[in-house]
Amino acid sequence: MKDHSSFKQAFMKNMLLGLKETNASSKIMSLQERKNAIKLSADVAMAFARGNTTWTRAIVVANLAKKEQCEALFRGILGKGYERMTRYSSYKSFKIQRSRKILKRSHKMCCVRRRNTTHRPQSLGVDVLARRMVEKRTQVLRRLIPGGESLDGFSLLNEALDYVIYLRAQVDLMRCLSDQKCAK
Amino acid sequence: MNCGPPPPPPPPPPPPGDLCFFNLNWDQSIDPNGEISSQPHYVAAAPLNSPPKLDLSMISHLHHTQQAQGSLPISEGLMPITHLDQFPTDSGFVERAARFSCFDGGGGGYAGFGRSLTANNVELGNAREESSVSDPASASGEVSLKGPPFESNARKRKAAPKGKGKETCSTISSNDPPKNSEAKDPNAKKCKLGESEGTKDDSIKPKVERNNASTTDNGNGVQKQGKNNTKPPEPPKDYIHVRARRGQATDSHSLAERVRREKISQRMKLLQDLVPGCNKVTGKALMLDEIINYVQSLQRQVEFLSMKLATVNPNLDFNNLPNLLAKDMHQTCGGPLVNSIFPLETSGVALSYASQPQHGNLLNCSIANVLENHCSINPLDSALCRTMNTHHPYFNGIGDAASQMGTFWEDDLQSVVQMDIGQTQEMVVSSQSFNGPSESVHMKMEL
Repeated sequence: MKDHSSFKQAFMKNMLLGLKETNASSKIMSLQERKNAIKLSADVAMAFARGNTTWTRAIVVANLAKKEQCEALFRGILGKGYERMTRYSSYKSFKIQRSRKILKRSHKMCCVRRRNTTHRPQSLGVDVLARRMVEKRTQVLRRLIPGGESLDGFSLLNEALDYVIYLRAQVDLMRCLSDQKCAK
Repeated sequence: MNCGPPPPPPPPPPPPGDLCFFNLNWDQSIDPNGEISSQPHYVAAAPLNSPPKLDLSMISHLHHTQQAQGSLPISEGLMPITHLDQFPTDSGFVERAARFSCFDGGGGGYAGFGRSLTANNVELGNAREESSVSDPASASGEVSLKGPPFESNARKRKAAPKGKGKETCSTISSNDPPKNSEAKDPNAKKCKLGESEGTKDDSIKPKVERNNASTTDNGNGVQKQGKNNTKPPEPPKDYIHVRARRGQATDSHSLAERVRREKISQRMKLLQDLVPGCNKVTGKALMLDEIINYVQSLQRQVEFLSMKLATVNPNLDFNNLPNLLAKDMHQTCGGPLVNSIFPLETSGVALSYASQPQHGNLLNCSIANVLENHCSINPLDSALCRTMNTHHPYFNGIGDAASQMGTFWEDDLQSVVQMDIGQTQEMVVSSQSFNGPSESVHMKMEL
């Protein structure tokens, strides 16, 4: 928030660069493809404008893993640092995949155990119910925040805080862009 | 402070039989509570308090030893041993002494503290936490102040069953779950206070001393109790264990847990400020709901806007990106400066302006109503203008800023989106360049 306008500049620059990269073949793109490309460039622009946090890394890694098409985009935005970045992030993505698997398995086991243990007593305390509600919502939030699956409660909230701030800025900027385009 | 149900307040001059009766009740009330876990620690501690039959000779001997150690400047006023000897050795007396000892321990030495505790019962837990937290340090005066009342309680609970000659009771009462203790402690304190105020006659104090003697009369207990009574700088090591075990909230894990929870709640507060409509709800789950909704809505907006961008102008080309980039670099050079000077104004204004016309804009996609759209855009643009324009006075005069601003904005518009230059567009640009400076000048005046 404190470097808001510099973030805006960086975002705009990255976004336009990304649009240039992805829209190079815009004549043959369908609407959906174009939309995806725009969203991708917006996300990546946001991530790179933000810098180094968990969610930005997660966005970059997810986009890298998703398609090879955005390689050009990254190359365009990052310039020289691309090679270093991709090496790092491919390693990172592998790691994240594996740890995600482990997490899922342990979560399943936890669920099973909890079901076994806590469903026997019929009367659940209010605090237990409240805690369960909070846990459920935390899980949902974990799914929403990129890269949040591997975070605990506190850092998840931290990331959520950061993510919300920049997501809002992104929405504002994209609205500016689209409105200007509409105006033309 | 140690757990266990509060003892029923006995009348100030109770007959021994009555006291026995009381004690019976008390034991019964305790018994169902306790999982009789004779943990080694308590078993070790129990024999200290165990001997129900007190030899007066033993007591006096003990007393001598204590005095010899010099560790018993008892605050209640040290009674001569002859006083002690006056009292018969029946168990009722011992027990009553045991009970009163704690009262006096709390009342005589720490009446003020006990009162403050009863005044705000809620703080009891906190106080205990503090003391137990800082206990391992064991050097702070706070601990030594706060410790002894609890100690005296503990002694009471241990000593009271001793009158009945039940060691298991003492262990049980000390093993009670923490909630119990927390819930019952204020009551206990109250009882104690009332007792201590009601029983100020001298006849009790000797008993107190005797009780001290009796509790301490087993070998290693002497030192401990002596320390407790005299509130010396160092509390005994035993009590660290006791508290940690009893409360289960004082070990390092739960302390860390508490710190974590505080941090989380602080984050939640920040998020509450950030997410609109979140400061009305209470409760963590509801707040998380709001946050989730907000994040989802923002993500959906990004989707929607990217879709909109994709539909609006399919033939984007960014041929003169270098121009734009040069401008961007220029702006980023100015950006940090502006931010360092007006960090709040620029960002806050931009955000508030940008968030206002959002719903109107979402629907006005069609190019047909350009003018409407333009009107709704204007706040946005002016917000952008502000952020861009605030750094102009640094290289130009204020008078120049307006004209500079106009050309700047125009260039920017033209280069950001390539469009066919129609009549309407020129109107738009001119009006914007007209609007922008006025806004910016206004902004400057505000600043």
